[in-house]
Amino acid sequence: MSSELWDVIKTKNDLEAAKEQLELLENGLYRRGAGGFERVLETRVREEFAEIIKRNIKKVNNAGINERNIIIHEIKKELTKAKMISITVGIDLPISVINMLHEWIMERMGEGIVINVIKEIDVIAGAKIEYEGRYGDYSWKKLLEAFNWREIIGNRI
Amino acid sequence: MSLEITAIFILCTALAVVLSAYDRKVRELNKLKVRKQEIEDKARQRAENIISEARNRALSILEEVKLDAGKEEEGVREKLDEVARLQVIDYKNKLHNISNYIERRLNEEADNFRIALETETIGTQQAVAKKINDKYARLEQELEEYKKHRWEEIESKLAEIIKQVSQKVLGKSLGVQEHSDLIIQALEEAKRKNVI
Repeated sequence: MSSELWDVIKTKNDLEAAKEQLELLENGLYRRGAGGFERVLETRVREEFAEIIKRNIKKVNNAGINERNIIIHEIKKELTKAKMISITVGIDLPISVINMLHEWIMERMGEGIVINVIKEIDVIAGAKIEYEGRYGDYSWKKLLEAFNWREIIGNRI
Repeated sequence: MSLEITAIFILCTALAVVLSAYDRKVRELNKLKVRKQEIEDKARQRAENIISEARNRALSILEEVKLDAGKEEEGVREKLDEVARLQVIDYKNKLHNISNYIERRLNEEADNFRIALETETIGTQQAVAKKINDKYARLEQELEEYKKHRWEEIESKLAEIIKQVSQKVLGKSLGVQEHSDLIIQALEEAKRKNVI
């Protein structure tokens, strides 16, 4: 389950949304109608995440409330293992790029790492990376700041 | 009574004596007066003689003197004229010398004054020029410092503006793919440096 889970939950937003949705599902276990488990799963849970949950429920024959509850808790437990990598970039990244970055991270760092994408225009290009208390600035902002502008301007004027 | 007569007799005798003496004296006096008169007459006569003699002598001398004076007068006149002429010449010379001296002194004073004036003027000009130069140098220095200070301000601000513009321009000039590639490069760098 974990692999398919981390295939779907790629970002911090995804992680937080998944946690909220699991809460809603948990609350819906003992309800019927609009707030009921099935209804929430269909309408309030992201499609890919919902599919994972459905697949896990299907694996259990005649999964009742208790089985569903267990599945929810297992997913919750798995989600607590999530690690976060903060990547500060200079533009709004399209989904395709985020997916590509997630893939890169999964291949090299393993699964269970979600990306916290932060937009900071001053970064210009490149990225600032922060992971488990370690930090690195590989942005063009840092490169530009390294220039002695006064000297450059002075030599040209 | 006899005493009185005696007394009268004595008195008359005394009187007679006195009168006699008095008469004698009077006669002596008269003699003296006559003698005096004679002496005086003689003296007068003598004095007159002397005076007359002296007068005659003086007259003669005077005549002589007149004669001599006439000659002398001519000579004196000539000498006076000569002296006067010499005096005039001397006076003229002195006047001329004085005039030359005055002229020379005036020229000297004028030259000195001119030199002093020139010196003063030049000195004043130099002092004024120096003051102007000093002030100019101070102003130039202040201007340089001001320019330097302003230039530093401008440089600082310009540097910041160029940096910001570069940031904006560079950021916008890159495409999504380029951004992606640069982010991947950053991740790889971070991995190399064990950040991730």
